Amino acid sequence: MPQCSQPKCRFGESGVCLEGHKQECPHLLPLSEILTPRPIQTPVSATDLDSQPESHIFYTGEKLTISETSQLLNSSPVVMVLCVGAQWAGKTTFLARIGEMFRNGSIKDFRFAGSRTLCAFERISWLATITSGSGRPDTARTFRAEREKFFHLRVQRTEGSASLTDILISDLPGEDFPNALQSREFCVQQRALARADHLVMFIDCSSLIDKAKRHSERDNAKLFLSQIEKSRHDPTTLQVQVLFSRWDYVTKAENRAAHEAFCKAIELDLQGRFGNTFGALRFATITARPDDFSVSDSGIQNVFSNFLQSVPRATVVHSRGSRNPARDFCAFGQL
Amino acid sequence: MSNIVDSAILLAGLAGTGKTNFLVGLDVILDNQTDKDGLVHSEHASDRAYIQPLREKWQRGEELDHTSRLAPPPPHQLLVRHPPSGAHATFHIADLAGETFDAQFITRSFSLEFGTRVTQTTGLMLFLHCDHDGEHAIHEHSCFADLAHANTADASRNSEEKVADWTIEKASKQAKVVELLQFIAEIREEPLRIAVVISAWDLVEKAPPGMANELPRDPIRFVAKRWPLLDQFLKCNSRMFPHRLFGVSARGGSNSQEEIARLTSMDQASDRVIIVDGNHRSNDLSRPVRWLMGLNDTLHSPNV
Repeated sequence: MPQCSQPKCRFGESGVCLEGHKQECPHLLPLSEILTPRPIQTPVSATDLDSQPESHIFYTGEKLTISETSQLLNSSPVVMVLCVGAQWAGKTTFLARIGEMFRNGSIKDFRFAGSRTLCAFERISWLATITSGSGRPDTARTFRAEREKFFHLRVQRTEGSASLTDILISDLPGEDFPNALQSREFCVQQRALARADHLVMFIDCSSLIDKAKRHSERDNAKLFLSQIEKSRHDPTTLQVQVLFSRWDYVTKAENRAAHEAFCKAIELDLQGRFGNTFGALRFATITARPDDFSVSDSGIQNVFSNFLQSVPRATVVHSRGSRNPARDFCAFGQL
Repeated sequence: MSNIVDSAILLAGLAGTGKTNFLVGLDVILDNQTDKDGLVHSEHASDRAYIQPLREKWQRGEELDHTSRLAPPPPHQLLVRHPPSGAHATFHIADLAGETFDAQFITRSFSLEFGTRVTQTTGLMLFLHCDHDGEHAIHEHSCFADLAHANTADASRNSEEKVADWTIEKASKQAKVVELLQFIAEIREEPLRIAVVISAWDLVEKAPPGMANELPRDPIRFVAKRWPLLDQFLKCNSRMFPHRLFGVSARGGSNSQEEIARLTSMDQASDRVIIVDGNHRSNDLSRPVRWLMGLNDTLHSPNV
């Protein structure tokens, strides 16, 4: 019986192809290959590997894991940012635009000094490139598996001090946003939320101009900030920026004035409820990637500058902290 | 220079960035030096099996063969003399295939041999081709976009488009080059001088004046405009990577029949070489080498 090269296919035993092919299946191995004895693989011991390293292995270039993040947090003062909001509210697009603006040199007040996550930045911008074959700019969404993983940037101000600042940015997957609204326990468990210096909350204007969706979009924003107020160890150490994202939906709407007034009412309401709760509460409008291609980056520039207004918090590692870096998130007294 | 006995210079750059042409052009210039401060051959290395055939092709104006990644040539040895000081030096220049550097980005690793070169090298020559785009073009202008898709925004995200998936080899060139420098910083503790060489500079100089904004004729402004991520990275990390930028045409022109006829008609083959460094312009390809080796820190023209 011919054998299949696909590890999960049992064609050789059952005659049933994994992909439904018959005799013309491209994965079937030629008989000669099946009959040729294969060399026995001798397991390589750890000692052998240690004594004969064959290469220098570096970081992956993808988003940092909790363990990698913790190592960075322990090595230097870091600004940590968390982006939250419903699905398709523009969180990942916002991050993609920050990466693109550094790559095209359009960030005004800061220079790119390095990043451990260059591949991750390239990946999220890929669908916005002409090379990808995409007919219009798009952004790959953030999946739940990427929760508590971080983009990294090291930047330097173009004027003044030559010191370098590390920034870690995470975006809570949109599909987790309802969990955060429903469960304070979920919020408490989010290490990025506990450690963040800045919270960027996205309110999706494409929902705000929709009469059926706008009330829940507004209420969700209130509820989420309320959850943070109660679950965060010291809310005054958190600076909150509320972004009315995809603002082009408002500016293009027929009754633009009414929508702007609704957004203003949300701003006043949140200011009244949480104005004294957090270290800062700011509001802005952004259109990271408008559908009519009239890109304006000034909103993103301002938001990014706000991340670096304050001095980054140094890590204080308590002596009882674990040696396991993944656990050292706890060393900040936030958990 | 008297204390420089044996040095190494590393040539790095993605495929097609002019590393081999530079090495051959340098070999020619060292025999035909016209700059009184420039390096000259003190003698030819005993083994010229790699460089000599390439040099003959270069002199005939022919395109040089692509450097093999699978069978990399041994580091080429140059025995040079610095006439102003009378000192002698020997240095080795490894000419690795551009695909080597692509592979390093993809596998996220250096071979031990390359790592040793990085830690021991005197300086790095980083090659960029003036005609390569450092960054992928982003849909920012409606003239490049499919507006039919834009109008159906959310409902039909890429439903029928043939969109290629992202894979690591599709990363932009400037991301690959910056990552190479970040990898180097991971394993090297000492600062490393970098001569950034923008090759095929003759193309920049031939560009219509109307393109001066897109293709600045000053190497510093060129890199800031065309490779902004690399430009920012180098500026921020100038302590680890002291650097200087050079526009270089080691070949002198393109591969067209007319250009080959023009290049070979010159009385001195070295006359076809161009090197631009701030306000300085000559054919002395030893200039970046001298700077890497600390032989001439008082290059007169401003740079960086």
